[in-house]
Amino acid sequence: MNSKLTGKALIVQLGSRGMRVACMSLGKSPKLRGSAYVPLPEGSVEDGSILQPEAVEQELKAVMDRPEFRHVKKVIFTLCSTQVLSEAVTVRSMNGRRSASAVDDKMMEKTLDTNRDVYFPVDTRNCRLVWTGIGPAESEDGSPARSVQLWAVPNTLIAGYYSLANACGLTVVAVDYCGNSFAGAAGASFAVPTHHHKKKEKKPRVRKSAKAAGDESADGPTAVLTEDVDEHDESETVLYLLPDTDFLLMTFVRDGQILRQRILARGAQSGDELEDARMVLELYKTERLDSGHIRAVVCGAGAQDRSYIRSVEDILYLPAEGTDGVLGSDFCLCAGAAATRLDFGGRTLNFPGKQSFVRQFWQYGFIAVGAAALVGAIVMYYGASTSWGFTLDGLEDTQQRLSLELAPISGYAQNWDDYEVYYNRYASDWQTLLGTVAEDGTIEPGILRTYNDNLFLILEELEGMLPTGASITEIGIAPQGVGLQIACEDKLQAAYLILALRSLQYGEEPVYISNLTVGQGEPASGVLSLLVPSVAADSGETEAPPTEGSSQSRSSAFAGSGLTNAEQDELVAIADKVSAGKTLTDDELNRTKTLIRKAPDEKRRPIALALCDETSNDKYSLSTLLGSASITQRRAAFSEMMGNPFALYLFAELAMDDPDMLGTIMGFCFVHQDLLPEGVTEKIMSLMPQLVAGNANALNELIPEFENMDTKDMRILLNEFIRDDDNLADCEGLVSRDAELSKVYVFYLVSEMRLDPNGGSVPGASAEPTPDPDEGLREVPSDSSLLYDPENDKYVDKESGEYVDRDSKDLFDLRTGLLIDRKTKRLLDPETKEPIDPKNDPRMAAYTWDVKSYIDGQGLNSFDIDWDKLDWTAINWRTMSQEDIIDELKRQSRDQLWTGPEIDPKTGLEIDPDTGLLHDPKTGAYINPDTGRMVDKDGNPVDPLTIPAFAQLAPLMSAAGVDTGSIDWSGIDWREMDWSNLVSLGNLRKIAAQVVSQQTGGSGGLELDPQTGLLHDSRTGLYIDPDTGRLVDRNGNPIDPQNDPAFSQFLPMLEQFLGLAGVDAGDIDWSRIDWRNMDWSNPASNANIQELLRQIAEHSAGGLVQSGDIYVDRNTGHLMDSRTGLVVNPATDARLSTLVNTLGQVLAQVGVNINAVNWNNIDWRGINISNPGREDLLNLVQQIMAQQGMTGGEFPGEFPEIPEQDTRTYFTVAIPYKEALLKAELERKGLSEEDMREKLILEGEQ
Amino acid sequence: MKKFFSKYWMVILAVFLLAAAAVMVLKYYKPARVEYEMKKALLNSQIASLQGQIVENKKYESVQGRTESEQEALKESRLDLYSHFGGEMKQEDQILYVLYLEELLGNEIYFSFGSEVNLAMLNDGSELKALVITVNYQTTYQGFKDMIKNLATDETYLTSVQNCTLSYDAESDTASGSLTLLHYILYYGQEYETPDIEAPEVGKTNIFD
Repeated sequence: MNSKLTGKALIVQLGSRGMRVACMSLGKSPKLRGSAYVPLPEGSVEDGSILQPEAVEQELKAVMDRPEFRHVKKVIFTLCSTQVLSEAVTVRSMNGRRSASAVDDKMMEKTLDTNRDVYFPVDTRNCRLVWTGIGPAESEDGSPARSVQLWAVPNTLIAGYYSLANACGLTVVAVDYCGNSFAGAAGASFAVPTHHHKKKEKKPRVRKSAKAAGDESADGPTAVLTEDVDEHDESETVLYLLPDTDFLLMTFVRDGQILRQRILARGAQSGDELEDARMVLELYKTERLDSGHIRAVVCGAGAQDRSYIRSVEDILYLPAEGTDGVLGSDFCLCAGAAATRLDFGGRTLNFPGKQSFVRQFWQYGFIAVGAAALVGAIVMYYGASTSWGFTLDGLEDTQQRLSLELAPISGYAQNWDDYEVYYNRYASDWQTLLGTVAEDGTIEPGILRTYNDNLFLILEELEGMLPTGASITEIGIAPQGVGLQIACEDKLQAAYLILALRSLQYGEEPVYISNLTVGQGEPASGVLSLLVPSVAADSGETEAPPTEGSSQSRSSAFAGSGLTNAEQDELVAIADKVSAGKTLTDDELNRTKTLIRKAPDEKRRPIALALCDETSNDKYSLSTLLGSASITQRRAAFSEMMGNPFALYLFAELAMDDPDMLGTIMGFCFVHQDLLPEGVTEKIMSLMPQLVAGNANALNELIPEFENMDTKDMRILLNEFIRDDDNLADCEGLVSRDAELSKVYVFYLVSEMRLDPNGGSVPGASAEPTPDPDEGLREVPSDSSLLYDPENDKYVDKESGEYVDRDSKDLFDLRTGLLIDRKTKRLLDPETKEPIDPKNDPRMAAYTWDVKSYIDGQGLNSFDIDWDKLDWTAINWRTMSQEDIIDELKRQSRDQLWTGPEIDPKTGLEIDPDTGLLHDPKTGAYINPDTGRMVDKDGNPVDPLTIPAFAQLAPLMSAAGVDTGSIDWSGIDWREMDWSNLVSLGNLRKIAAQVVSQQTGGSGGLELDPQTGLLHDSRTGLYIDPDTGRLVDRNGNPIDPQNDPAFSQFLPMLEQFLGLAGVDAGDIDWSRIDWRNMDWSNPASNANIQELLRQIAEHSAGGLVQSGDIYVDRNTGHLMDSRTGLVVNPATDARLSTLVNTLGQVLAQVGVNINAVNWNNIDWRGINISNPGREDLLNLVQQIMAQQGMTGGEFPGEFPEIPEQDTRTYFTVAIPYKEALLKAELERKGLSEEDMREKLILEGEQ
Repeated sequence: MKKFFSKYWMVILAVFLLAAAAVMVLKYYKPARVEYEMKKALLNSQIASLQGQIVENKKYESVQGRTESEQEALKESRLDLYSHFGGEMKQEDQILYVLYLEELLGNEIYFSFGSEVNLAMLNDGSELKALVITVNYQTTYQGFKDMIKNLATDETYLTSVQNCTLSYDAESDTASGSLTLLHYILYYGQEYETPDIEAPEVGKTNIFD
């Protein structure tokens, strides 16, 4: 039973149509504070059961938000349901006690619970039993007993009420049954009135109530205090009728005691329930045998309904009346429930404050945190400010104290620094002039070099060691040593002398000894340059020249350079940075050049070479590597080499000395003027006609401009230059001619090709490092799916044959050393397994360079490529070549970027989707795909020169010697042009070829003239001998093409293009060219130029002579140059000067001036040109006399004596001086390093 | 809105408190801390600098008073070194130099005027240059040797044989060729000294006579 109820509570009565809510103060005299009736959705409540809790909850919460209901947290439900069963039960005393009180509450509860099946005809196992005492009674056998009113309330029914209350944050203080509520409202009780007890026996008024059946958690017996009922006529029974929307509650009350109570469901028809009520009334009368007066009182909503009251009278045959006051109110049940002392509910279902509590706790916690944070922040701010103030004050005090301490001595360090700077400059200058001698005796020579002592002493030493039959035939003297050409009697004497020269007292061991020759030696002055890099530093030793990469080599190179030690260190630091693969800053690049150029001319190359020592490799041959490397690798390697400022300097020096290379670069610069400083551009433009004409002076004028370019700009220029494959090949050819620079290039190629720097086999271009299961691969014991490749120290997937990471099985690329994630398709770093940035990762340079170049060349922007989106797994690293990989990347990149029209695969031009014309977006040109002619976008022919990009072709063609006035530009077929660079040399040639074709007209091959049997070209009128291929006249006689009017029309063009190829057309013997395989539709075509060059090269090969020698053509008897394949003019060729001079002397005796000789008609077959004897000279004289028309060609008189041939054995040596002598000579002149003042010594250093 | 505030007033209050705490931290505490850290770092660096300067200056206490005089001595030493070099050589100087060489070498010398080449720039701005003179000679082998020896031992001028060609006729014992001589010159601010040439008898009434 509830304890005393206090405070305010909501009293809720639920019906199927609506909900009554009253706010009442609890206690002895409940007061109504507020009330509300809220309609409920149909079906939300049926017969007291809450079927739609959400709807009811929503309505109840809405009521709770009203001002009169706000802040009320308790609730009492009055349960109106026919599911609640009610029965009056008599329980007999089981222990033989005679008094009623002997049936105590505990016993009562047990008895009621045990016999519930007896009391109720239905299953009540899931019902809660609630009882209240009626009074003492006697059992049938006369034993004392107790009567109780017992209710059975379904648990499921009340559970819904608790859920509703919990959801609304309310505490259920009681669930009352409507019958009990009415009893409370009516002031009636189920108990026997008190005065009845007094009559029979004295019984206490207060009885214990039963504990709810099945509610084990009930915390003790509930008690019901039966109130005294109002005074009634003891013989009158009052039938209270409480009609509600769902039910009709009938309560029979006599003498304040409720004798019977029934709840009847109300039917659809009003009044139906009264028929049932009449039956209940009849039953009451029968059971009670009560013939006393019964009257009906209608309560609640029906109290004011006169028609209903009349219905009651008519049907029940009872006098009926309505009531007022509490019972006449709609909220009479709520009023009764407020005073209830019974609880039909279960407290275990009561979790009223759980949500609320949790919510509120959280909110309070939140407030606490906020408050704590604010307080903490304030405390922290003010606390810290105070602390900081103390700290700063302390520091300021310290600062002031130290300032005072420093003031009197503040200038000491500065004075020392000034002195030290002054002294260092003094010492540096001294050393610059006189050099230094290190502790180990190593001499660093200064600029002052007077080797006179050395020369004098070596001459004296030679006097003592030369065999009597040997002599010095030529002396060359350089600052670092002497070159000697020595003639010996025989080879044995030469061997003796070479041995003696190795142990000179005043000279180092010879750095060069030429081959032995007979009669003539190598010029002594020609070997002097070899002395520069090999000047030994140690005077006492005769060891071999320093090895590459040694500091000795560098110090030798710096010797006499005029660079201070600091500057030398600076250069060495830059070289070290380069060899470590680090990128130099622009300042470092330019500084390198400045310092190198500060050295004397002859020292610059040695310095640059010495500083390349760490980036040189002599383990491979450059030609071998070039034969194996892909074009991409070569380009990348060359580009890398150009990042080495020392190599760049060496290359630039080579290029400046090579007119062909310089000319090619100039041509490139003409097209790519944006790469050059403004002044250079203007100068090139002004000199272009002379450059095209091959004027060497024009090139020389430009050299200073290029030399003054920033290193960075030069590097950019060359990198752009080598993007063209032909240009790259030209550069490589130039490098290959320099043995030292070749080693540097080899270093970068080896790095790019990932070869072993210490040497090894060079894989072919197609021989990728793919695993071969049959060779060299080993099983992996711990992983049967893998093979181990010991050569590359990598693992190979057995099934796919791909290189993979051992753990993750991601693809591994040997070429880049990167992994490819199979899922994300991205490239990973093999160490960190993190994705890399392919666009900027140096390991991807070999690919990205080409891809970027290609994309940019298409007029797109390579910066727009999202490299992370590229599918790297689409690349088969095992089978695809480097080029294939790049093609695949290009395709993907282009697919990613390109949203434009279809591209013509042959020309690379866009195909206009509307017209089908080829279109170049860069120039705006449209090309007819069938004719190759220039058209507008509607397909109408246009003059190409009206398009700005094409207008620049005219001056270029003009500069190249083509008469542009005669060009039919609209007739040019543009399909084969290189659209990436419209003004490229290749395009100019193609245009020129078409121009010639235009001018000669027609097309086709040679015709066989039936009359002459000669091949004939009807366009030029030329005849060709079908057997020899040479140009002949109509009679088959050879003609001189240079003097043939028909041929001469092509000659200027051919000469121009041959000049670009480095061949002087004036040297060509045109009569020897085989013209059968030429393209006669265009004699000046590119193909013809190539064929001409091929023939020239073929003739030059000879197969019998060394390159550069002169040989005699066995077919013609002409003297030929094996290098150029051209006819040699003896009158001007220095190699034949001795012979020509001797011959001239002989010819003078017969009155012939050698300058009048026509050398073209001389047959040199059988003549010894290297060592002509008497017979040889006589042969030549006779031919010349015959040529001059002298009778018989016989030599008049006696043939002059031929000077005796020198048969001595010659060799040439280069001997460096010993540096130690230098010091002595300078000291003799009063210049000594010893005179340099000592530096002051600090106390701490003593 | 009223209902919202009524229901969640505690949350709103807590948020307000937190916001106030955040403002306190962000607007007052953090800037103050940054300023403090900066001041502290500045003072610490100044103190460290001062301490370093004190230590550094004390290190040189022993040589104070000597550095200035020592610098003067270095200057004198440098000038003493420079005194071994000649200065500018105009054409008349070159003629005199060749005459000196003729006397030194004992042979008549044919030459062309030389040109100066830059060798080095010294730290005090002095420029080391060389006058390159090519002289043709014709002498005996011994004469050639003597020429070289005299150049090596000459204490007046600093001259080096840079290049040399020599052809020798055994029959006449004649060594002929050319010498490229490098005569070192140092420009260090000295005044040009006009050569003192003994004047011949001068004065004519007809310059063509």
